[in-house]
Amino acid sequence: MYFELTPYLIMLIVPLTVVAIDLVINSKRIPYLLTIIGILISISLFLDILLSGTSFNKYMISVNKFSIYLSIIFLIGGILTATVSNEFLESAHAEFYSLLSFSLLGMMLAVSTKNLIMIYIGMELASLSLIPLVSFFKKKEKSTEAALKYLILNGISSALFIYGISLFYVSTSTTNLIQLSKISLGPLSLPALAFVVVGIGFKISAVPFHFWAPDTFEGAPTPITSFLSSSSKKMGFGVALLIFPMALASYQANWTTVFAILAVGTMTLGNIAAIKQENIKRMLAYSSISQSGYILIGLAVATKIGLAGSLIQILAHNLGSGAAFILIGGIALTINTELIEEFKGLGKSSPLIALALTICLLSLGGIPPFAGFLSKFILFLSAIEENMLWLAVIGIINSAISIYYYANVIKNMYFYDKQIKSEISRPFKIIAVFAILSLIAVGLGYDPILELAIEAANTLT
Amino acid sequence: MNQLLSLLILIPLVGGVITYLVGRFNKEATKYSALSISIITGILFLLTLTKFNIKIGKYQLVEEYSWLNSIGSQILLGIDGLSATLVGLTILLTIVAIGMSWKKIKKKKKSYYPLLLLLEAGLIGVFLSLDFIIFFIFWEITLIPMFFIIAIWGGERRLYASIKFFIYTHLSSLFLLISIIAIYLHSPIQTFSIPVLTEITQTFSPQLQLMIFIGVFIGFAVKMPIVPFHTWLPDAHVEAPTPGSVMLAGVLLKMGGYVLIRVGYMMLPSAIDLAMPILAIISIVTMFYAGFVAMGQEDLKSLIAYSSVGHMGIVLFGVASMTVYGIAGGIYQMISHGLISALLFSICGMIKKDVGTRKISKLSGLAKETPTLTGILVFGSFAGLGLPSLSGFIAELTVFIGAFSTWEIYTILAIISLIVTASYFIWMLQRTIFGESQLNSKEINWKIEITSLIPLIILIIIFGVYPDLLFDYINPFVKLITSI
Amino acid sequence: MIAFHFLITSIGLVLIGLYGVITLRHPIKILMSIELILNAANINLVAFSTENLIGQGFASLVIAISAAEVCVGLAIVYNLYRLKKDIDVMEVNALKW
Repeated sequence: MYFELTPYLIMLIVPLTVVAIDLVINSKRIPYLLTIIGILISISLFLDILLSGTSFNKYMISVNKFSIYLSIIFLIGGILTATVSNEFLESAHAEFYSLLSFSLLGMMLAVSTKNLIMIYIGMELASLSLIPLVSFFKKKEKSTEAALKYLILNGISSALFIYGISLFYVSTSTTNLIQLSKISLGPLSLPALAFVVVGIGFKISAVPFHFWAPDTFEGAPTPITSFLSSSSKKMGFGVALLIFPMALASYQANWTTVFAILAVGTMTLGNIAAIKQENIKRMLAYSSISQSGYILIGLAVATKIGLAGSLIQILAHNLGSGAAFILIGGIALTINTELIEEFKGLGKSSPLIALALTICLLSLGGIPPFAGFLSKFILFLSAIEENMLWLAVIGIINSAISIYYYANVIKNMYFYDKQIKSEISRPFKIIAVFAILSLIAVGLGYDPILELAIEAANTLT
Repeated sequence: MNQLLSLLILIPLVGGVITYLVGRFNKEATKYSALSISIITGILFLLTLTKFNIKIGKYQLVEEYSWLNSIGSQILLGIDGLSATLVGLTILLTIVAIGMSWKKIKKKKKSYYPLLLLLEAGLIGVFLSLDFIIFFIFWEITLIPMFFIIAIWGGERRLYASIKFFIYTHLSSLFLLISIIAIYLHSPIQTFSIPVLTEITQTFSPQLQLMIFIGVFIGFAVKMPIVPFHTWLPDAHVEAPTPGSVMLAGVLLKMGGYVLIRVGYMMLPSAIDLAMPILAIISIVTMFYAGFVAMGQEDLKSLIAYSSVGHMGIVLFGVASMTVYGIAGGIYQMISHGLISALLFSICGMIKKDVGTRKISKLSGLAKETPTLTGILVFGSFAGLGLPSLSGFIAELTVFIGAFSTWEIYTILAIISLIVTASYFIWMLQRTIFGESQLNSKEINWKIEITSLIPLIILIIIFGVYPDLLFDYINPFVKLITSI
Repeated sequence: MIAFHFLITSIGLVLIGLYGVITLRHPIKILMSIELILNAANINLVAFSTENLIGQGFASLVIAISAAEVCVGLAIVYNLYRLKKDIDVMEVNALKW
């Protein structure tokens, strides 16, 4: 009956329990284990719902294939972060893990609905829990400054977004996406669209609304950077995918053009800025911006196959960049620097981590047989199908440019005979193995995943 | 046994993993492991040939497994005359490359031999795949091991060369991908199967075929390479280790020729028909340009690299003539060039090791220092310039017989370019072999390396005097595709 | 029509808020400008909830959430002040802006 809501309930119970237990026992392990177990149960419940094929659509919650697909992606991002967080934390473990779980709950709710109110609440829950996480190392100036930037830009973004929604409400008296699609927006349509696009543009750090992202990504604690890139940003895309193709179908010509322009700008600028970065976290932050540009191709095309391509690119980028950030965090913990130059000799001293990082980067660069290839292939296919060859060609040139800076990292890891001491602890090795296996599995096109993405895209239109 | 073809791909792949595991215990054992795996692959290939009916030009021993059903892609493997010869070349050259690595590769053997086997698996996969997606995946997989081989075991400017190689070829393959997508989208059936699409593309209008061909052209022109897309090749060759050059010139360039025939000629005949004069001019420019640039090279290895560019130009010339002889000669030239360039690059690596330099001006008097190596160098050079009774001659003769019926003037020009080729080879020999020697030979024992070159020498002679051995495989295939 | 005036008011507030966000450099002033935009949205939501009450409900949620946001924001600004004794965004430059 209400079985479909249990994964959400678990993600609500877990953080509350974590905080409650912390009042009694001050332990490092309990919050860690509880969170990981909670996320795993939540993922398995989602898979169970998926297999049983049921869906839920009552009140403001709507659990369907799209929301399950994205929720699982968020949870994977969450579990990547949770697995290694204990290596970074010194105190306040319970607060960290409960905020992480709350943030996950917010993300899941933001995409599991057909109502703008719920989208807003979910997004705010997610980002308000994330801001303290970004500034978690409160003695570090960088971390706090990153949080301040994130806070301000996130505030602006949500304010513009909510103003756009209020304009929808002014002309239609509803916040339900399905009803919205049936009513004309009248003269306020263009300003409303503009506000919503700008609001979401900040969330997904599309150029020209991207400038907060590299700073925040660099300053935040590395596991949280991974979470920001792998889950928080994807929530913005999830919301965009929910709102535009369904509720604003009649204005498709307007927003597809805007998204096409955003896609080109985001891919190109992100890439060009990434080339000259010396700090690997900052470089990956820019690469993450350019990868978002590819997701925007799907929205610019706005066909079923294009949206499915966006969904697969979301998954590929979630796995690739999420794991890459965490592995970098692990390396930085032992060698105490994030400069790409200092990675020399890593291939020899910790081969597994270096191999996993290489595969993550190759996948981000779109080299087969890894996940990034499949997603880009489908995105380019959809763009060419809709006679947007120019978009595909720009994407292709960008993807070749991106190989340059990814290869630069690989070069530093493998091609110098230098000895560095790095002893990387076990959680990072687990992440490394997971990244290698999952990127190859998705990339070699495990058909059910592709099918799920296509079906999820079908529920959007 | 109906899984022969997938075994041909899987054995090197799994063998690579086994070799890596062997290397964790004993680094010296990796080369024995790699050698035995490549020989097993060779035996399996001979077994495949016994099941292969050379009378039929069509795909044989087809294997089909369901895969990405939602977009209509499946794992489809098959072998025909074209792929059989190229797979044979790949397997032979892998064994030669392992032989050439025996002494030369000293560091990181644990990763080197698995990468070589991964490269072999990728190349065999390219030639056997009959589904565009799996084809493209193998096509790109070959880049990764080659990138690492150049970048880790290469010469001084290896990092620059490897990244240039990677980005150049990757970008060009993405244009090929666009064309593949275009074919897929214009086909009424949702499929990536090459045999099915080959029939469908015949019905495309010539303009559409030409549009698609542009992407395909960029894809193979960079790989082959055709002037002006060749700039990555001299860098990559000069910096690559000898076995890397053997694989690069011997097989990786042939991927370009393979796509030219498999996708360009078979799928888009009208486009080639329209672009014929342009392709002929490009290939003649390639031959002349490569010849003149080769003449000015100081480095023996980059001279051989430019000779590769010229030889691949002949392949394009043959196929673009769209005649039975032209195409058959083009395929023959691919195999012959694979053998000859592998021989030349190997001998060049050995000379460098032996006397310490590759500079042609410093190599004078080589014959006195290392008579055996010089002998092979002379043999290879004569094979390269197309001496009758060696395989290169047959290939070039067939191409020109075919092309002459299409274009007379272009063919005469192409034949003139052979004089340039002959002159730079002979001039190189004259400068290196004779004269006073200022060299110091280290008199290294080359037994294993020379043994591994013997099959190449024998095959170059056999294919030169008894061409039917190879034409038996090529002809039914060519007759089939030209009759469409 | 009275509704039109509400719309004009809200648009005016948004513009003032945007101007503040773009030009001001003090984090607390920026937070105040963000509040202006949120309240502009609230005016729209409340003034136009004539057919149903969704707008008014939504407005009260927005008020609650914005209060939470300001709480978090002030905490971070305070922490930064403790670290740096200075909270001007222009001066906050350990990271490039």
